[in-house]
Amino acid sequence: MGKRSKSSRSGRTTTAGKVFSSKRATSYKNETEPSKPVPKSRGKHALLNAFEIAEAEERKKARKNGEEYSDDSEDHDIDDVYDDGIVRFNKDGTRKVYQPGDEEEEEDDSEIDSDEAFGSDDGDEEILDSFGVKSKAKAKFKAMEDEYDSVDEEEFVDLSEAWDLDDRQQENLKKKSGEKAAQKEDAKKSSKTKATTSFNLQEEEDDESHGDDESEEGGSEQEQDADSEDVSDGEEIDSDNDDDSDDGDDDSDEEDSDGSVFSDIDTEFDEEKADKLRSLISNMYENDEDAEYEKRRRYENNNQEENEFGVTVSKKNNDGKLSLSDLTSGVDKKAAASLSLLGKPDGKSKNKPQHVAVPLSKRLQDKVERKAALDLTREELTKFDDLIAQDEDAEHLVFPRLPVYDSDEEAKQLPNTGISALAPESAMEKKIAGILKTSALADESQAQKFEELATKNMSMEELAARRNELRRMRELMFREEQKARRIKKIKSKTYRKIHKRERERLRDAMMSDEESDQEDHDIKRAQERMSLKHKNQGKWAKRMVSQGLTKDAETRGEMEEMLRRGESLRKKMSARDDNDGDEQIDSNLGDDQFLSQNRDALVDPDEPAEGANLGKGLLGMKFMREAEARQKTENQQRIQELDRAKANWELGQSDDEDEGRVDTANEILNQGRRKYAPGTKRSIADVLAVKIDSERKADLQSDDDEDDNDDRDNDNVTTVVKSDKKKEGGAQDDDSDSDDDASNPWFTETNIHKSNKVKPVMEAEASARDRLAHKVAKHQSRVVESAKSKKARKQDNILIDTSDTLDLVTQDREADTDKGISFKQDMIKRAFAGDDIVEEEFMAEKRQRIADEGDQEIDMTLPGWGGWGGEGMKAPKKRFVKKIQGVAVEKRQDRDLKNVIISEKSDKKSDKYQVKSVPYPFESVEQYEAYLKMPMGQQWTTETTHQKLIKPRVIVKPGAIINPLDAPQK
Amino acid sequence: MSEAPKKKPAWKTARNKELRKDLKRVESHTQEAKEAAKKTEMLLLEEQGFLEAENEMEATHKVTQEEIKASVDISTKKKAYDLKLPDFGPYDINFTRTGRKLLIGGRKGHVAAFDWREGRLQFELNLNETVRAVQWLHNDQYFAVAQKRNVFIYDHQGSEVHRLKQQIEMTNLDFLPYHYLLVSSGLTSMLFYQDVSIGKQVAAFKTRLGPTTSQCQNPYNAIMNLGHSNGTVTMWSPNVDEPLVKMLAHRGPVNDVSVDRSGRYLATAGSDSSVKVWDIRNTYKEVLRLPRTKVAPQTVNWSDSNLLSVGHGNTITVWKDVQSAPRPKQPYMQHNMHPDWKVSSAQFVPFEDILGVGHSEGFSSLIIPGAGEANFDALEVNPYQTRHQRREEEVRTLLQKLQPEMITMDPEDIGRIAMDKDRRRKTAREQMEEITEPNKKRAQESDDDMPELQPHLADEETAVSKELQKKKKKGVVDERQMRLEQLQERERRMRENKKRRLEEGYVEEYVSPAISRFQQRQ
Repeated sequence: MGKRSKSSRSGRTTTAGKVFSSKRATSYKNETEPSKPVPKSRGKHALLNAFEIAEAEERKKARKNGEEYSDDSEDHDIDDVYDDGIVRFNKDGTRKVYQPGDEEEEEDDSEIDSDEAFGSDDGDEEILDSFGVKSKAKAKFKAMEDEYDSVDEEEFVDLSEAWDLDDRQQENLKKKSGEKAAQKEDAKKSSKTKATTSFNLQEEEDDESHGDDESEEGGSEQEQDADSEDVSDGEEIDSDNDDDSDDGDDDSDEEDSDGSVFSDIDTEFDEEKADKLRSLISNMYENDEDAEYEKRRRYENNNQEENEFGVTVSKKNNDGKLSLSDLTSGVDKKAAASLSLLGKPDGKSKNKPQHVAVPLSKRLQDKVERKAALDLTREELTKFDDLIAQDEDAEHLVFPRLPVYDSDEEAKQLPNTGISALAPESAMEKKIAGILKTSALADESQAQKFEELATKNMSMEELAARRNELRRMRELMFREEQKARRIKKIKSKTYRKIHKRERERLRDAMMSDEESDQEDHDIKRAQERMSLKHKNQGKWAKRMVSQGLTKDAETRGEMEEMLRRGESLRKKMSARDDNDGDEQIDSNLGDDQFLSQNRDALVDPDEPAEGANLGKGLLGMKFMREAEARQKTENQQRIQELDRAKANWELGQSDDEDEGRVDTANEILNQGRRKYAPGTKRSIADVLAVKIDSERKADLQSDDDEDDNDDRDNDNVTTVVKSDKKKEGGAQDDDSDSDDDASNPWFTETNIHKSNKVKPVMEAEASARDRLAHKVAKHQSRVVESAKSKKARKQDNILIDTSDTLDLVTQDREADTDKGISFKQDMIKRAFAGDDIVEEEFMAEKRQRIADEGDQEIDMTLPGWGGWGGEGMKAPKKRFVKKIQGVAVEKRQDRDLKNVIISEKSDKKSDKYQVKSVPYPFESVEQYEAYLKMPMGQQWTTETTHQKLIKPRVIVKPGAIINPLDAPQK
Repeated sequence: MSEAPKKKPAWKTARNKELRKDLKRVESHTQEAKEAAKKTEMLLLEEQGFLEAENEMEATHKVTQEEIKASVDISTKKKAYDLKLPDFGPYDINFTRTGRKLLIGGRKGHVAAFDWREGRLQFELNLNETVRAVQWLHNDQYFAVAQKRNVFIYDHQGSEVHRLKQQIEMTNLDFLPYHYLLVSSGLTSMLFYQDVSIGKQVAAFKTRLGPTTSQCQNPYNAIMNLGHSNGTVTMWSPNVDEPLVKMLAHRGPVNDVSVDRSGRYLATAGSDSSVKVWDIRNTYKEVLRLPRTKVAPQTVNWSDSNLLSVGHGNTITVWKDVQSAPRPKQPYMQHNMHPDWKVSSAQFVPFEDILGVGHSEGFSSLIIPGAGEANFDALEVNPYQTRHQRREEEVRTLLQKLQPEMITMDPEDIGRIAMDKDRRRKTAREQMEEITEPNKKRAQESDDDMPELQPHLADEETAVSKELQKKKKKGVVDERQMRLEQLQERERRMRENKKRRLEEGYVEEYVSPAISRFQQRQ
């Protein structure tokens, strides 16, 4: 893991370098950009062995072939240059040729980073691939191509000169060694800084290197002739300089790096890979070109010292020491491509101490990795965010999930096909479908195609017109929609009403039979109009009038007929406009209403007449007035009769015990004879009821006395009753009481005498009762009083108070009731004589309760403490008093309730079914109660509601496979 | 809990997004449920058919039973009959909740149960002792009888199952079906709650109001309403040992009480020959009173359709529309039985237009059109229950049995937040604690329980330090340790002071704080 990440890191740096290099390559065409296999890289034993073997073989060949290779190689190389390639030079003067055909391999060869090589401890190609070496190579090639295109002619000149380099090299070296050294020092310094700086400093570097180049160009040709490997990093120039120098620093660097390489490799040596290498090396010189190249190299290096391994060591560079570049120079390019372990020549690491960065500690490394992994995972997981949010919101989740359609169309199509709206199923459908198909009507696509074709055939203007038309239609539709929306918002009722009427009219018009009706009507109207028989403005009519022919009976009849017709027509017109509600009302008239209507008919004309007759001459005359008065009295009588009839009705209908009795009594009076048959059930019941009523009256009276506390000394019971009436407390029992009062003969004994004086006139009484019957809902006393006042105003001597009458009646009755019953009543009365005692007791209890449950004071003073005793001494002040807070009177639930004690004791046992505070997550009582309000019970909700409310959140279909969540495709 | 009509919905007040979402969902569900429930009313096709006067000359109360019988169908006609049992009366009657079975108990010891429609006798018993009340339990398989001394429970065959020996001389029995509680009260001023499913006495209270003359349950909240001989009506739950509400209803003994199905109206019949209807939701005020009867009313009963029957003497009067103030002028129906038949108990038959009347000479059933609930809910009480369904229901109701603690005046209180609990009255114990607690506090405040200060010793040798060290070893910081630390601090200060003074040349003996106040100040 560690290794791989290391390698990947190095891979990254190289990529960055590449980008940089490609840029550079384009911007500085003329400069030579030598770069080398990176000495920074650490080798392996395996590699070393391999190269030893390779060198040995090479040496043998060299002995055989001698010097003849040099010429051939020269020719060949020149051809290469002119044909299709670009020549590049290794640091020690060897050159390489790029051919478009096999660039990739060559690139691989040259560009494998040493870092990578070390990262991948087994030099397998696969791993190299995984490091992206190939892709890098491609990128490099591109960069190179750029450079390749932009190669100058000058460069070729330079390069051709370069062939003489080998001869001149030594001289040049010697000559310029002095100034070179100085230059190199500068370059080195700059390179060092560069190596440490990041690639952000690219521009700076460019400038610097450019400057260096210029200086070098000016200084010597050698710069240009040196390795022109286009792989360029920030440190190319340095490596450039290194080529020419015999700098000790460099050597030491090399050694350092080499040493580290070997030490590292020791442990990881692999036999298998060594075998691979061997086979590779044996294939090394299969290619003639390569062989020649090798020969040439050998020749070039002839002047250099040989060591025991047969590896030529470039003396000038390394001070006679073996470097990795020396080794790699002998490796076949193709083989090297596969042997990417060696890495590409990397200028970056040439000059300065290229230590491999100390790997991070395992822990930190892991941390970094974890972080990276986390980021990646996180990014991956964000894809699910929407889906998860959806699921969280969903009330129910059903697994397995319903299929998700990629597109809307798919989703739409599916249900359609399911409904078989498209697929014909029955035989007839199929038949029809077949016919349609054959007649090419079924295919919608054809129609569509046709439309498309139509548009295609259109000219530009037509198309524009068509488009405009469509746009207009759309605009209109939109406006209509807007209008509808606006109208929808109107809240005015009148507007609605009007429009409703309009709509109804429209609808009526739409309906066929209505229409025909309307038509009929119109036709008739038209006919009538045509006949003109209804007009008296016609020529004929006018003539008749002007000629005085109207006196003729026949003509007049015709005229009249005409007018009548016109009138009826006009009526018809108006009738059509009006609604026919009046008729309905008439038809709905019941008996009761009939009576009252008749009555109104009698009454109503009277009243305006009184005011109206003042100014009129005839009506003001005496005889007319008398007649009218007569009429009035007659009417009055009739009104009374009607009222009585009505009252009888209502009373007959309402047969309460009280009223029923009253009724019978009245009947008796009306008939002028009294029937008191004690044997009859009814009368006994009545009498009993009356007795009880009187009893109750007495009770109530005492009630009221208690309430008021001021009317106790009232002898006159009527006054009490009146005070009752005045009170009008609104309490229902008062109502009923007073209701009874009015009809209670036992109650007002004083009244009995009073009413005795008043001779009853039954007609008037009937009318009074009528009023009473009308105002059942109203308070009795008010009714009576108003009746009284009205009577006083209108008919002073004939109307009497109802209650008075009733009193009279009962008084009459009382005379006849047997003693036994009255005795019983007495008994009852006596039995409940002390009722107020009961109430008093209750009130006392309530007071006691209030005191007990209210604030308490406890005297904690110890007797005999805190003061002196004895004669003449004051009792000590109460200093130790405890106050216990109870329920204040004004906070009691029963504070306003008479005769009710409500316990203030808390129900502790039910505490466990209550919560003390608003439970989480609710914020207020309202929220909590709203939550609880949802009815879940089966018994008070519908089955569907119940099922819905108890539906589990997650529903898993049994036996179905539930696939893991798919990331939404975006 | 009437809410303002335009109230901000609860979910809008939520700040937490998740909560908001939840509440919104719940609220919509609630709304849906309501609407759905409302829609189902469409399925209630049956209507109560009240007797209606054809014209205004007619009065419904004048229609006699004979006339009704003559005009109704045969099956209904068969339901109205008189059962003459002159030997053992007067009879107390009770119908099962389904309305199928009738239980009658004659005062002189005759108990019988039968399917009253078919006239099929289930069993008949002669107990040879006074029978004061009979009551079916959860179904027609068990019933309780208040006998001369004890209350007994019998099974469907009439064999004795239990004797509730603590319940002595009971005159009223009632059964709370959802709580499985048999409630009894009687001559002894005791009120018993007996759980018949587990045979446990849940509560026994002394009413302290003398003999309980009448009793009924409030079907809405399972509160028991008791009428007493002093004219008061009290309301009880098994959880509080005093009446939740006590109201003075009549001036004489309360002969009968009855609460309508909605639990809003209480009807009371007093010996002062008055019948009153009360609103018992909050106001406890009299809604109206019926006209006094010549004989004190013995029974009042609400039907499912809110008809009120009053039995007095040999008469049964049925009133309609007596739940709001202007009372109708005449009763809905009236029936006079034979003059010798004195009404002792009456009950409307559930789901039937029949009023059962137990009287001194047996049992009568009267046809009262419109009295029964027309649309029954078979999930609740099924009048056409089969045996299998009865068994199922028994199990279901037992599983869903409510605990007696859940009986409150307002059933909605269960699950509610008890915010106003602090306004309750304190018990004697709480009050005592309140008295003694300040002393406790003071005891804690003084340092009597602390080791003595020893400033003359070295810091680590004092008792305070030693105890503190022990405390610290334990590693639990408590109130005592804090106080010890304070003491130690004080000790150190004293020591320092002393040292300084010594240095200054002031010689002083240590005086305890008690004596130090007598020291002269310099």
